[in-house]
Amino acid sequence: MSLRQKTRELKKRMLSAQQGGGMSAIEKQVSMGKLTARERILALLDPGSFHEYDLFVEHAGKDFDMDKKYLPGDGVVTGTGTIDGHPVCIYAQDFTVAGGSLGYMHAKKITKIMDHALKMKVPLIGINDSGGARIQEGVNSLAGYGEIFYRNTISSGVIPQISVILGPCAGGAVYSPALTDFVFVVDGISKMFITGPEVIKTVLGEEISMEELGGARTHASISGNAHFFAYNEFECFTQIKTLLGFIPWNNSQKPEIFEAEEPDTKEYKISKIFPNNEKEPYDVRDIIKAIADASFFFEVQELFAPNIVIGFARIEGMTVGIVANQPLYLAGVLDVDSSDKAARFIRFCDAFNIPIVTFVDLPGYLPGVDQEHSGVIRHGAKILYAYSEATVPKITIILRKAYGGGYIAMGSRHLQADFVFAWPTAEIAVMGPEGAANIIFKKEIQDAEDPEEMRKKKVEEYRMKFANPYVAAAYGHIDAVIDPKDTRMYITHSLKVSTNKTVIIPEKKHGIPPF
Amino acid sequence: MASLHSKTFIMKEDNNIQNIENEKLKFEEITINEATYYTIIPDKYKKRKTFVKKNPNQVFAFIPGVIEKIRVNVKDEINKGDILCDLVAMKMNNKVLAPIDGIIKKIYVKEGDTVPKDHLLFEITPKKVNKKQE
Repeated sequence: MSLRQKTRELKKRMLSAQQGGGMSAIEKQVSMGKLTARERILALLDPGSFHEYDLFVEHAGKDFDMDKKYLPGDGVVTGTGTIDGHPVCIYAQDFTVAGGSLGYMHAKKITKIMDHALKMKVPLIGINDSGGARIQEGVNSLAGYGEIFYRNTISSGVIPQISVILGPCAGGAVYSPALTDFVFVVDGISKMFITGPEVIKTVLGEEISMEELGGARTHASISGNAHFFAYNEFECFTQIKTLLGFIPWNNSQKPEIFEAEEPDTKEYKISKIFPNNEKEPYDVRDIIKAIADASFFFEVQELFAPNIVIGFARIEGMTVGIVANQPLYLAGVLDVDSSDKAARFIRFCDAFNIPIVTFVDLPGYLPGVDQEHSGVIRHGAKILYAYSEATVPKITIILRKAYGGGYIAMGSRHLQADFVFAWPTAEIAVMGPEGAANIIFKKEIQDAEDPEEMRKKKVEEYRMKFANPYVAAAYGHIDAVIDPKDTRMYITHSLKVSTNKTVIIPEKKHGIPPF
Repeated sequence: MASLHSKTFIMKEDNNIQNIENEKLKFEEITINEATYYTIIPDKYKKRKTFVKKNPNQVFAFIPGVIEKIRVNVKDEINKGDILCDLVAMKMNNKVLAPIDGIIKKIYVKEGDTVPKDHLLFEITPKKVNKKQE
């Protein structure tokens, strides 16, 4: 055969393999509002950049007549490509081929591209759309999952790992996304659960729809398993690209520096956003937008535990991770969910050399039996651990309330923040004036002719004396009390000063964070 | 970027909060360390389980499952540790044991019932301890 004939043969084989599960399966996929695996990869990567591997891999099933079946690419598309010019490794499960079920060779393809990503130190993107383990292949499919989980864990903190749930992801399969850094979900398309609604109904008699149990909205707002919520697949891909613009390719690099852009201070003016009454809520994201380049704040886990806000922004072109209490929700308290959310984000930023900017305004930890019993002690400890452990530049700005344990937890000087600034509106104290006055002046209030009047007087006395930033400033616990409109300037300067920050920590295998 | 709750609003000094988009954001009061704040209370917080102290004379399902066999009848005298019923859950035949000595006052389930976690199963009238006899 001539070279031309052989090339033609190759083209023919490629075309046949690229068809996936065939026309009827593809039509079914499209009717569900979903793209096919290959379309998804092409939509996400730079045009012409996708290079596919293992197209001709065939499945390894021998039993139950599986040996007579041909599954193109064994239900997963893998390869490399670029996003905005940056190299990435990617895999996408193909639901049109045997429901995207995971067999031995399917898993081999995935682990091969994962190994590649770790070796080349480039981000890994996994698009999940699979019915689960391929039961006909028995323990081999379980082995496949295990191999994937191991690589997710080993790569954690070395390369960014992104999971995109564009279809079902059920049973053991959910643990791969859970081990990765960011999980993207799409309304009406993503479904994640350990046990499905059917099993829950037959075993427990609890009735719930698949969407309510494990749909995109559920994971984005209630369970906290998802980090980004989109209304359609294209919006989801835009989110992935935006995220990759903020984070470095691996843990030995720093985030790319962009051209500085001034925030839109007409739309976001601190003096207009920040209320005069210290008990009024405001949207802390507006404060962030008043400080961030182009007033752009890329929020992570927007719908989950909204009492804390986390996300990425740039200041004078430098990428920062932002953690901020949100007085708009639950007065901005720390609770089980918000501590968990912030701690994980801080650890991500620390692993990938992204400085952390913290905005503090919280009345403390949330009181309640449900909080205590769901472990607010060990969950709350995560945030202390994460801040203490982080060696990236840490800049903290106390906007308003910083009381008690909350003050310590939110990136305080004592957890080795590098720069701590306070606005003149800051109230840094062991507790709020109301609570403190009732304890300190208990006797005076009790003995007074008009206890209520005396209480008010004492609360005011305490407020004047302690509910300000100057007591903490007198001890050097904060570095400066600053004019709010200079905040951006102070952060920029702090970032520049800390470019070469080095911290020596005792040698250890690893710490034992309060997971 | 999708935003389900990013809204702009203005605040007046007299504590009235108005949403300029005319969609009213509902601010409610929450008291933390004796200070009251105005804020949005998310559903997850509102729907949280409020703590109810359990009656020590009542026996609850410690795991969701199916009541396979009830081994006691009303008015039976039981000792602490006696098997009250078999609760099949998670492929295991679990035994529900009596937490105290006493007499079965009421049985709230029948064989074949599917029960969620913390479902009330039995109520026991505790045995009166006669201190003089001890």
